[in-house]
Amino acid sequence: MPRRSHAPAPIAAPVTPEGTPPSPASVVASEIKAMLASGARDEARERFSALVDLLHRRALRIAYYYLRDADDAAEAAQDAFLKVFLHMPAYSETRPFEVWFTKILVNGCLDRQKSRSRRLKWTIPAGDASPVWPPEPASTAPSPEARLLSKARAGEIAGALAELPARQRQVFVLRYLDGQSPAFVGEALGLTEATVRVHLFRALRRLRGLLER
Amino acid sequence: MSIERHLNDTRLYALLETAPADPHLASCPHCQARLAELRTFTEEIRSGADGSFAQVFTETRIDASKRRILAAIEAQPAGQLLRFPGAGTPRVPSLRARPRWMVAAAAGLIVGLALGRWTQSDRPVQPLARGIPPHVTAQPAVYAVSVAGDDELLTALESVHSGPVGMLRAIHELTPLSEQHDTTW
Repeated sequence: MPRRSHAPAPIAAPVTPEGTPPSPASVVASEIKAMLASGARDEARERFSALVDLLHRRALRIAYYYLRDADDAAEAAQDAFLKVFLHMPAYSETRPFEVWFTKILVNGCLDRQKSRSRRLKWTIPAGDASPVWPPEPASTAPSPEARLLSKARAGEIAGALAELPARQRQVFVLRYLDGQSPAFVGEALGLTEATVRVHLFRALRRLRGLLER
Repeated sequence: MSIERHLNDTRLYALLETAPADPHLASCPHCQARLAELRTFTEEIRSGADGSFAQVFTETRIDASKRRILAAIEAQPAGQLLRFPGAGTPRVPSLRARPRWMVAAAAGLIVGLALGRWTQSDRPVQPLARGIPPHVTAQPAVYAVSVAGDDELLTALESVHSGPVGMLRAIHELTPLSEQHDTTW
């Protein structure tokens, strides 16, 4: 029986359209995949922290814009990273890693939202059972009034986003809040670019109606 | 310039997505202002959403969340890596085990039903439907309740039914189903 070698497997260079250089996340993901393939799992775990550094904040933002709950968003981001780590051998270097990750994250948010609405339908909330977050340092915001005003507007915007239909919200969040191209959004959500544009148009029109009335 | 020649909303939103190379837009200050307003609007939403995120996710929280993720990855035992179905041999339990359970459950159900029917058939014949109007017997779930004193109960019902119906109607109207049935006997 051949002995299993722990020598690093050759890293397949991520393929990108039109010869553009691969994203840093795609490069790191390819390295991790190669490490896992050669059985170097401890090294892969260590390298994974670089991937978390690159995508963590973005994952939290997308999940938060989508779920509007800090604890849910943090859990959704954690689930997405864990899933990516466990399924890394299935990552295909022919696509940008961010697209794959976003797809996993958005699907996780959708599942979480569905289960949350099912839970809310059958249960009565029993107070604040959120996990303990570390204490915050003293705030450096300009003034309480300015903070209150900006908080109120942020709340209005978050409320308007929550009123969008699910697909429009997904598209809008990825395009305008995450700053991705329509092609990226389409690939992550399984839509054509034309459909993405239609959803964007409808989302913008609806948001204007909600926020300018 | 007439109103009809201004860009409609669809075109304006499309221009927001692409470089504004529209000939009308280049020469129409009104449409330029509308496009600028739309850009400002999307910027406002972006900054509002950023503000909302920053209020909730401070640096301390973001760091804490990152530590949790890394701890969760660290807690994954080696050799537990999964594959998507189709990518190599799946490690999920074989689906062939499932039908055995289903067959066992189905067999148990059939045996139970058969035994139940057999034991019920030993009882004396209960002329349940005799004398009861067809529209009532069409609802077996209401009347097919088996209690210890079935005979006595049915006898009492039959005697009431064969006499004046006033008392029976009064009982009927007390039941929750009284609105669903025709109360004229």
